Amino acid sequence: MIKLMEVEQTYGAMKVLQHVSFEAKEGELIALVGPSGSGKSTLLQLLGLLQTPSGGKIQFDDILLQDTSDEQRRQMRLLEIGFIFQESHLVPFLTAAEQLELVAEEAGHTIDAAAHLEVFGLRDRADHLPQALSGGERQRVAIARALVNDPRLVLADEPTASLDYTNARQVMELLQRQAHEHGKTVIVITHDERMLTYCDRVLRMEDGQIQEIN
Amino acid sequence: MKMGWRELIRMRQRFFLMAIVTTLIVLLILMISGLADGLAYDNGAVVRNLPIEQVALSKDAEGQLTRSFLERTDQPAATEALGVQNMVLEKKNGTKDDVTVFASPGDTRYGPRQLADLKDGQVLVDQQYAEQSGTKVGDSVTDFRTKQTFEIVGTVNDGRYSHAPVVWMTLSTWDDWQQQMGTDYVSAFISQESIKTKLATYTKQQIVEQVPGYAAEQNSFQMMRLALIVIGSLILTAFFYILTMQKMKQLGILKAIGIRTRTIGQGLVLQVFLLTVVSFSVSLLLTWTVGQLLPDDLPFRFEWTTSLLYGGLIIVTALLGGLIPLRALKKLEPADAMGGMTG
Ligand SMILES: Nc1ncnc2c1ncn2[C@@H]1O[C@H](COP(=O)(O)OP(=O)(O)O)[C@@H](O)[C@H]1O
Ligand SMILES: [Mg+2]
Repeated sequence: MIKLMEVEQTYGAMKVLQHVSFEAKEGELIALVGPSGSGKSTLLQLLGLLQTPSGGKIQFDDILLQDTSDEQRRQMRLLEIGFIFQESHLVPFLTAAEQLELVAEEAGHTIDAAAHLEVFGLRDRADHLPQALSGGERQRVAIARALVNDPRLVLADEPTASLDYTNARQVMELLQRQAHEHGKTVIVITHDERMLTYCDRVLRMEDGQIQEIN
Repeated sequence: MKMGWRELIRMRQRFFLMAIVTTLIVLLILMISGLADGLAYDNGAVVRNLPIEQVALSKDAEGQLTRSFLERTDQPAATEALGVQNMVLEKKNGTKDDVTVFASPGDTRYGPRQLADLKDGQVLVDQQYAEQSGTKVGDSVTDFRTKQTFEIVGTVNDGRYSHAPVVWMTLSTWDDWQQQMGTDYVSAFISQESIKTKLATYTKQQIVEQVPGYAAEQNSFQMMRLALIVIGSLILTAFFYILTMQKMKQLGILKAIGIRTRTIGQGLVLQVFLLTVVSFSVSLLLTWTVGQLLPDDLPFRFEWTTSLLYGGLIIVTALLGGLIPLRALKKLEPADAMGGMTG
């Protein structure tokens, strides 16, 4: 569903990514590991259409991203891609339900936010502002928000880094279900070896190069 | 819109603070305007209240009533003579005050009504002056130069010229007084229609603007007002700019998840608009209230036209200033805004 061909990214003279090629299929949960500064977040931002690569090609289904306009990429981010950041990055003045409604309304949908939140065990948190939620709850709201438009690609940058083990496992189980039961492509950056058991494939970044681990 | 409104409601302390600052700045400008209008009114009140269309003065008077000296023989048809001159008025207790004498024929509609009942040697004085100087109806006062004595028989409202109190008398009393000084001049010929004459003619507004001190005073206020508008706009623009800039990371996240720039921008516009309009309305109301509460002898006047004009001016500039960050928002790259996201 998403395919990278010889992608490279440079910032000035610094080569952050080199010769990165891989393909992710529907229903796969892929872990992205590697030391800090190796280019994992950069790669995820490329996959999430937040940056354009300095070289190589990225193909989303049959669409070559280099052929798309800013507006097309924005629509793809809204409809086809779900983002989960290390910190939940919720809008501080919107309740849990309103976070979801904002994204749904932008896509022209009306949703039952409470029902969506219930799936993530947040039924009684629908009317809470982010500041009134625990770290784990905030991250689950962020996941619910990322999934509200039913995207086909879910990207998560260290979603469990600020969570304790129990909450982290909950998040990984949620992501796994999205991949295995809903057929989404999920790519997760993680530092936690224990989380790898949930993943179908593990890709390792080192000095801007990628390598599949079996 | 919805998002902008929700932010306004849920972050109300922050917006409340901004509304207070905006209100105070607009209030300052409206108060200065009220003072300028009050002084402008006070300065020319007596001329403003005369039901005249045109005024003829001697050519060298440059529009100033007290500098004009005219011969009765030059009086054009269908006009009335008006006498205007400064006088040093001496009260019974020996203290002196500067006043301006206004004299018109007692049997015309120019000047206060009571003028018709005045006998020779009787005068009317400004009400406010009477209260402040302790002179009463029935007192007699003296012209310091000629030692001629006048009896105060009544008071008039808004009797001020160049901020000095006005003393009204009939032309026949005026003629007596002038004779004591060895002259028989009058100051102006006035009419409710346009005057056909070789003398210099002026409209009422021109005469008001030539009242001594009027132009200098109003120009100072105008400078003050413009400076305040410029400074106020800059402060408000900076405020709105900071307000938006500190949210840029948050807005970048929204762009990253596919929210339109327009959706975000509409919320900002709504906020700036509501903030300025509410602040403007509150300061208008406050200025109006102050105008009602201040004692009459303070020269403060709430005029809708000037208040709306100058208040509106700063609100429009603040609005425009508040929209500057929209450009930054448009150019904002989601990835840049999220610098903190990478681990
Ligand atoms: N916008 C940028 N401009 C310049 N350098 C960047 C930028 N983004 C990332 N980098 C650099 O690229 C390298 C890889 O960063 P990143 O992708 O965040 O690594 P990781 O997520 O694996 O820790 C780092 O050395 C980082 O400093
Ligand atoms: Mg990272």
